[in-house]
Amino acid sequence: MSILLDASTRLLIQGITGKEGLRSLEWVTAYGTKVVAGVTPGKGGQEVDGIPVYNSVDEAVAAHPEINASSIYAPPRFVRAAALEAIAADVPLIHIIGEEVPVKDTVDILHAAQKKGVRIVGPASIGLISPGKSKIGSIGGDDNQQFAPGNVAIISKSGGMSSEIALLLKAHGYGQSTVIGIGGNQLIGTTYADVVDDLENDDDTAAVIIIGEIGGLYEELLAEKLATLPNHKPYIAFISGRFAETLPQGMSFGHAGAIVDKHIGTRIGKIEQLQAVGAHIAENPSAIVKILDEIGIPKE
Amino acid sequence: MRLYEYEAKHILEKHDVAIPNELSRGPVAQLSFEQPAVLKGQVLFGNRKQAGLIHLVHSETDFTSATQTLAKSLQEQSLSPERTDIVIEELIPYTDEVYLAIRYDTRTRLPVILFSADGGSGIEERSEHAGLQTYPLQDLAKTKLPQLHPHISAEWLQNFVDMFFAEDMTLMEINPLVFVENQPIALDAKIELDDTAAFRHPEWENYPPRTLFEREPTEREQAAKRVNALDHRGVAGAAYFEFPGTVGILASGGGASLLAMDALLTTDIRPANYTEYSGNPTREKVHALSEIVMSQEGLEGLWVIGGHANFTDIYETLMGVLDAVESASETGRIRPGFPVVIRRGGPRQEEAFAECKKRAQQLNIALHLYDSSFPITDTVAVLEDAVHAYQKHSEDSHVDLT
Repeated sequence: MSILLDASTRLLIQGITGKEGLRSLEWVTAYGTKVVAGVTPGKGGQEVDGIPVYNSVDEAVAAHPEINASSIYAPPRFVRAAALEAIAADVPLIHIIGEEVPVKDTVDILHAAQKKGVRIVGPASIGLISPGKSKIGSIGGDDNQQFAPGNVAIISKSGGMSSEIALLLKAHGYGQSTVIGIGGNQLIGTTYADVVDDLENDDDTAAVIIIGEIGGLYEELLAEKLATLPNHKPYIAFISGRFAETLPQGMSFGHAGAIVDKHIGTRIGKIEQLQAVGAHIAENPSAIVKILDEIGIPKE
Repeated sequence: MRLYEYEAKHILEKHDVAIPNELSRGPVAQLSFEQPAVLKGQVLFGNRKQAGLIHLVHSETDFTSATQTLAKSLQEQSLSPERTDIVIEELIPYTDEVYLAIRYDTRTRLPVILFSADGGSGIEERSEHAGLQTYPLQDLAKTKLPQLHPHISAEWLQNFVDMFFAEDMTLMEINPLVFVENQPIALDAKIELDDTAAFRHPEWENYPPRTLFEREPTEREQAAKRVNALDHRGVAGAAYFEFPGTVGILASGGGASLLAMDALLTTDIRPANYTEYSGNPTREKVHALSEIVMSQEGLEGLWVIGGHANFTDIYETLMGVLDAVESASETGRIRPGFPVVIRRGGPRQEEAFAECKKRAQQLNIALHLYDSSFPITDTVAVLEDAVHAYQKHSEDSHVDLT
């Protein structure tokens, strides 16, 4: 098993005729994901790589009622409209890759999604992958060699670091059940805490790696969530931001959400709260593997 | 982008939020005393009072001493008294002050109104909204706004909230908001604009360059922004910070750069800059940015650090970097053996690495080349050794000359 996506995923790509959308189509299809339709306003009736393109999500869903996920590759200024369309059409899982989505637009998207019970991953999410089964987005590119099927989940604000950590795990014999780039923006649809229940219920996940950083409260909210589950699975967290915290108050570094604040979302605050609920803290990425070895997570 | 106080107040004025009259604005030397007033240095960091940048003046004598303190305080903050604006504002007598802000909150993932009837002194020292009344703005269209204060009317607050969204702010803080004849007046204003919404606000292009560091933006910081703006393909130079160290840095990937810079802190190597490129920029764009990095005086090494790229062309981007190393070498800004530590992987990596090795020989630089199998954090030790070797060689050759 895996969480959020598996062999039953039937994907719609919004912005499928754009350069990035086309590339994602090629990559996810090559990995085995079933893309059933695409949307680009004004390009309905065309086909790309044999996939039909529609003018709207409604049209696509009417023709392909099996659609259960959408990946949005629209330019940042059109992401709000694209996402609201998919939410209105009750697509239950929506991935947003765009990084530069205005915060106000993000709030609108998250609010509409919440009312409909739709899950948003992103904005600024590189994508999600269930190694060996399926993937959405641009995660892994056309390569995918850094990922291998296994029992460790990786949930990361950074897309690049999700690949880095997967590569590190693979080199030491650990595969992944699910890898999710949740995005490094200030407001995001799926936080660490939002996937805890799914991960607890996933038989294939034996341990969870959290790649976090300064800014905001998503790591703290994870700690609050874990506090309600006394027997939760092992969590290993790596939190960066030592250098960023030497920068002036209010500056963001690396990601839009990595905002330097002396009091809210500090690196130490996150580490202490996660430690208090039994999470293991990795001082650097290499330590993640040592911790997995120590707690005896079986290798594939 | 953070606004200067006077820029923030102009937005308030545009939305009919009352502010004190601005009597004049300009460099400290151009100002003169006309009436009792407040003098406020226009800088982007907090605690301006402590920094000696806010003064109440009731007389000509007050004014003279205030302007002297202002000039001195600016110089202490590495800011030029000739180029920093001072605003002179009318004095507003008041007794009652409150704190009012709107910002985005990651706990509720909503915009929230923050309010304190006790005013906002020491607000920066409070943890997550402690002591503040917090009101999430749930459904923007339908939210019934709270009654915060007898003198803050529903219409006034609605207008204030509408302004926050219409102007695509991420922070709007009035500290203090005071009342004169029961009417709210914003004595100070701190606004952060959402850079990603710039496409909706062509007027933002008129804001002058700025930095949150307690100094002016450097030539290189401004040049890097221009490099990024001139070519829309990929991002290169949107973030550029200059530091007093000796190692140039070109990073790729948000998470990788956070991690790399943390690792650098464990060494005695100090960065000359931090900048980044991503999203498959052209060779020319990376070259232009790298030229800026390499233009720094007294560089003792270059660190090109990034994760395993999904779609950035490693050949094109690394060639852009080496183009700048080549011109630094040709103009004698770097000596033979100049260390260049590269850690990167992704499309066209093998081709890129082969060409890098070839060019390193031609340029006579000390190239240390690693792919994604080598941990990012381990490259700092390589960098440290390489820089020390270059420094040692410099000392040796110095001895030879004398």
